[in-house]
Amino acid sequence: MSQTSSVEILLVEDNAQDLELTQRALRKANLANFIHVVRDGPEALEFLFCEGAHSARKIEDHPKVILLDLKLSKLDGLQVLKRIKGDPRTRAIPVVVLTSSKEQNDVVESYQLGVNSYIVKPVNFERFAEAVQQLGMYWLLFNEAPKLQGGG
Amino acid sequence: MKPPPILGPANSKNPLIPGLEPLPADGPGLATRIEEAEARTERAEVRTEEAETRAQRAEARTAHAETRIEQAETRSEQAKTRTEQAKARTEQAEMRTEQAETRSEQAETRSEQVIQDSEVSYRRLFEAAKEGILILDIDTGRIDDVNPFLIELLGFSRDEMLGKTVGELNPFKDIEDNQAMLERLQATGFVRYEDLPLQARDGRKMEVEFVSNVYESVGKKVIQCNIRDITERKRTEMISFQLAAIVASSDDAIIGKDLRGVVTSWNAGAEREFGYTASEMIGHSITRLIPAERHEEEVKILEQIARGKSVRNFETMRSRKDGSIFNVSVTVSAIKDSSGKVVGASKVVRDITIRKKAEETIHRLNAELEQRVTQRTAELEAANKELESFSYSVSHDLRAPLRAVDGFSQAVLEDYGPQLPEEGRRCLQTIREGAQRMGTLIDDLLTLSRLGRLPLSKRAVETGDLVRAVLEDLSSQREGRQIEVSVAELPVCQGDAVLLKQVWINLLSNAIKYTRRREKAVIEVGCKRQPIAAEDHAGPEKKANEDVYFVRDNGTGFDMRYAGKLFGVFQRLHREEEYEGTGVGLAIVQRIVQRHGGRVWGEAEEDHGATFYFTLGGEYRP
Repeated sequence: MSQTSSVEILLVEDNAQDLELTQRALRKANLANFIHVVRDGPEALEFLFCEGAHSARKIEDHPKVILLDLKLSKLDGLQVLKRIKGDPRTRAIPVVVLTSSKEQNDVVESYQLGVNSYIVKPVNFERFAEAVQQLGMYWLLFNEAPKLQGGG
Repeated sequence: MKPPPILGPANSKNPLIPGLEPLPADGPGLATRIEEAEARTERAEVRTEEAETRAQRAEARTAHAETRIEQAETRSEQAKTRTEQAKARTEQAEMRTEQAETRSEQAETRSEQVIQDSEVSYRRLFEAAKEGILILDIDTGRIDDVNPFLIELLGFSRDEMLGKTVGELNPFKDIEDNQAMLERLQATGFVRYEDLPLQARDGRKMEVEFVSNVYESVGKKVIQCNIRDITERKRTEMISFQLAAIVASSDDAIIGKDLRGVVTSWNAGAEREFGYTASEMIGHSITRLIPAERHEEEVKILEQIARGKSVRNFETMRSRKDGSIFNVSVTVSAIKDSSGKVVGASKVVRDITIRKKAEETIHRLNAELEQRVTQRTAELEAANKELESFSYSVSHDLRAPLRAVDGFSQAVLEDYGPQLPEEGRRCLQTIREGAQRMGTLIDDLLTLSRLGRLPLSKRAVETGDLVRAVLEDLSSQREGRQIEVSVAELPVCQGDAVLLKQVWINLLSNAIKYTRRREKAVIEVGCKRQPIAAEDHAGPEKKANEDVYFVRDNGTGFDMRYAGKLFGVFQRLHREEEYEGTGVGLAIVQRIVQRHGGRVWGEAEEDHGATFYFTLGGEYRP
């Protein structure tokens, strides 16, 4: 939860238990060092767009991947996704949606909004951990992030 | 013109006094002479007058005599003429007398000829008559003659009838006593029986009119009986009578009218309906029953009738005697004479006030129903929305705590496992299993709920390919087992391929699962086309076939007493330790099949396998 300029994963999760389990899964995969956690939609947007408490940050200094829960208070995950993918400054950031929902509508809408990947959180923790590790690994280590368009 | 002669002109001689010369004037003694002369003259003149008078009388007498002579001569001639005329007339009279005698003779000759001719034509009529004729002896009542028509009618031969009395003839045995009839005939010269029942030799029953007359033929009295078959007439009369009774007793107003719209008949129904009696209406124009603003209608109706066309169930308004207006349905038909000419119209008027009211009620109810349907639809849509958000919520919120239960149990096992006793680790493991199982239940429930809400996308599905693909997908479940699967030829069906695949997955995985204890599992997939059972079908006239798909196995089967529970959600017929599963699989099958308009059912015997059948609602004409 540091505010360093080298945030690699932005984890957007409002459920404390899911948050802890996700962090645990990432930690086990040695991916826990550069996680920034936000607990709701507005907070996620403030961080990403360097507003409010994050105004000192530079927008170009974006995370390498965003793990986004769909079920958020105040502003839900799809709306956050829409803002991210609707803004040229953030559009290229890979977003992995994490959700309990198997609802087709959510999946379809997420893809329409330009999500990069989609994980349905299974009840079985081991499978969940596995999925998170694979996803994190892929986007952090193997995927070459494109150069973002400048902006302010 | 000459003036009429004047008696005694001075210079002319008097023809009646010859020798008298005029005297010279101025002589001696002249005056005396003159006086003398004048006296003589006067005397002469008197004599002359007397003579003339006498002459006249004589002339008159002569004329009279002549007249009498002429008259006598005339009378004499007349007498002569009359005598001649009398003589001529006498001759003529004599001549005419002769002619008369001649004619009289001729007349007698002709009269005899007429009698002969009449005999012949009577005979002809007798032979050709279209009614039965019997000639009876007036004294004995025995049959002297019978015409061919009666022979045909009764079926008895001429010989069988001749010489018998009418009463001795079987068909007439019910007729009154022969002697009584004879006596009546002799007394009145005429006997008539109406509606005499008669049976022909072949048993055919008929009704006849039997009329006997005494008449004289060639100086001899005979009885002629005319027997007329009136069966048909009676039948027609009966029909007419019945029709009349129907018309009379009909609740509908039945009215006859001519082409000018004048009422010619008026039944009791009309009287009831309109309040006018027959005598009030017959002879009056029908327009009396029609509200003024609708008189034009009648003109059109009559025009149509005149063209020979009828008017069927024309709905309009009519007015009663009391002025009230009511809804009617009018049917008007042309009445034609035997040549086909339209001579009038029959009109049936039915009071449809009640029907109209009923229709209004139906319209109102329909509108209400419509509104209610709209309302219910809105309610259903709202409920559906709610259900959607409910299942959305379930899928997120119910699973999150389960993940926590499972995840933190796992965390404890990982982090503190070594410090825990064996039993503690087992308990944590059980907690995890419970959580995971609940997760599966939630997933299945959501699937079921989603199946009810998603729209079907139907298209032609190659069932055979689908089944083979499913068997391929299930190959992991078949590993290590000896399973013989036979798939018969399967028809193409109309359905949602994704959902149908789920049906086959569930049925086939059940078959694999419940044959687990068989050394050799046998699974058979097929389809038979069979008539749609009556109770599943609307009309008996629709004979249609349907395709019934089935999956048969030789597995554990089930007790048919619990077959009703097969398709219930979370209903299981086996303990979970024996056969895993949530008890939602067949409920899903049923939901999908029903959404396709089909049925699903199972047949089994415990420990002797089960067969699951389903249809998809399609129909095939044989």
